Amino acid sequence: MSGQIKVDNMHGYGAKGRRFLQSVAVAALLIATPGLALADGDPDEQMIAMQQKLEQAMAAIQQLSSTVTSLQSELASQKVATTKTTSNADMMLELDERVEELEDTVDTIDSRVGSRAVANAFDATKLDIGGFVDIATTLAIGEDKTEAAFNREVFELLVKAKLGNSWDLFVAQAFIRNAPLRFSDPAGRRSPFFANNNSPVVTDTVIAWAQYSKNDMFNVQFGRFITPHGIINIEHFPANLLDPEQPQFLRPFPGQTIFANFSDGLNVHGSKYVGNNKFSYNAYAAAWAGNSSNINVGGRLAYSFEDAGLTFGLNGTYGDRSSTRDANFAVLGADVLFQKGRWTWKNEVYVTDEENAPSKYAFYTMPAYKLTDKWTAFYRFDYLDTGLLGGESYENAVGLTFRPIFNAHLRGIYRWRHATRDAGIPAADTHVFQLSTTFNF
Amino acid sequence: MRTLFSKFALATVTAAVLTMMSTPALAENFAIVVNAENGFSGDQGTLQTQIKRLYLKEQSAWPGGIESIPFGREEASPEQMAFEQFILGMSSAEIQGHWLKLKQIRGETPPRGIGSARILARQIGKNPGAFGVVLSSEAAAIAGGKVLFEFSGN
Repeated sequence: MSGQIKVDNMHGYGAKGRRFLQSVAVAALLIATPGLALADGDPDEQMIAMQQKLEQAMAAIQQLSSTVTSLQSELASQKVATTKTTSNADMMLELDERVEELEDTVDTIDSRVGSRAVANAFDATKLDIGGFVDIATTLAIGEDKTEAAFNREVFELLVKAKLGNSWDLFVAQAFIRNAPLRFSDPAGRRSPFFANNNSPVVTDTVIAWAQYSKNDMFNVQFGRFITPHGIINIEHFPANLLDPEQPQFLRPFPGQTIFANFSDGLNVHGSKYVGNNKFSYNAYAAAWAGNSSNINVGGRLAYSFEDAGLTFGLNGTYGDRSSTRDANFAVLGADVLFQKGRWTWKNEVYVTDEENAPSKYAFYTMPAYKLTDKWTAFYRFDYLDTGLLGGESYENAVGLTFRPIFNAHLRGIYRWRHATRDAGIPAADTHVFQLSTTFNF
Repeated sequence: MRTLFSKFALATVTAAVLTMMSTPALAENFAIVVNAENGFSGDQGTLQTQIKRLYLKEQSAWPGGIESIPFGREEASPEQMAFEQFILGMSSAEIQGHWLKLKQIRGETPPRGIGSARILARQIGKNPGAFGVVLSSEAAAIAGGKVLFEFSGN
């Protein structure tokens, strides 16, 4: 359309131009003629002729002037029309696009809500709800017997509410039917069985914190939070983990073999980028499960070399494990994470110093390779020595995980658990085959 | 044997053609657009790294202290695909994994994806910390916004 307008205008300008040139030529001729006529003839006649010619010239000039004026006004009006046409077309396009987007949005909302009620948060400015279901079936071939069970069903609800510009609330409420593998010999290592009778449905407030955020460098969490040590405990949720059975030092759940999975108290944390590297910290003062009368203090410092895909972490905590006896303790630990390309390699090591108890030592190394976007293979060597009689054991686990869709994580894992021989206690092996799946939303 | 070879060759060619057809054409140029008041500057690498951190919510504010408001584009749109490939440098699975982790640990959600470039432009014009990706040809028309940097979809 605009192209057509442009062509028409060109034709218009051509015709007007020709008229203009013709007028100029006529005027020049008229002005030049009297001069030539003065050269010979009667002076009176010449004067009359000159007057006539002058009148004609004046008339021609007037005509020329009116032609120029009309040309100018015509050009100006065409310019306005062209601008208006372009601007209107652009506006129509914009309106079309906006209306389409609005229709899409309305359609999406309508398909989600329809005639149902819309849920509102009482006071939060933003509310997000999610969760996951984690299910496992396990076959354990032990020294004394073989057992199989659908031994874990966990539903966890995650709720995040934004209370204001700098305030957030995050809650993870778990509904757990868990029958962990247990052992019945004096050191708890032989004759595996599933703890069905000992583990009824449990509801556990896994996380419940409020957070004030000043900036990336300074955030304060109050409430129940994941104890910020290492790699796997921070990742924590089964949907994130290749092996939902956490390393031995994080079992039982929740416990405090080395440190507790969760803490109740206050956690200050933050991070800062330094060039391409990232520094982050956590510092907490909190009570642990089963020991609410003692405050433990601890923290983690981490430094990430982003280009190399390497993160180094230092962990430490000090406190008291019991409210009924003297059981001061200190934990020192380190973790190294390598994450680049298809490789992820997690490593953690911890050592403790315990009052009135032997020291504990734990470490694991866990390389994983992403075969495709959906398939990942991993291996984990996991060692724990609690210092107690029969308390030394290690595990070798290999697994293959599959994500058919983003919201589903299926796993097949073989674990060989070996408890070493100790004074008067023979070694014990258990072979565990587990299929598990986590669905999240 | 010859038939087998022919079938294999045919299958290979077919697969190559299908792969080429399924590969999205990202030959266009794209622009990261920010609010006109945004004073952040630097070389292409610095800008790209900053945008990546803000989009992935590894940082919540621009270096000047303005709260970041990242916007994505419609899933599988040329703009979003180019952004993920050339700015984030991550596959879709890696990006999904990242958001899953943040959702479960901190309750964070991915940036809102906007289909219309004009609505994105309005958001960028209104919010000092906002940014998003558009086709380079659309960038000039964004009132109240400016191009932080451009990148090629090749």
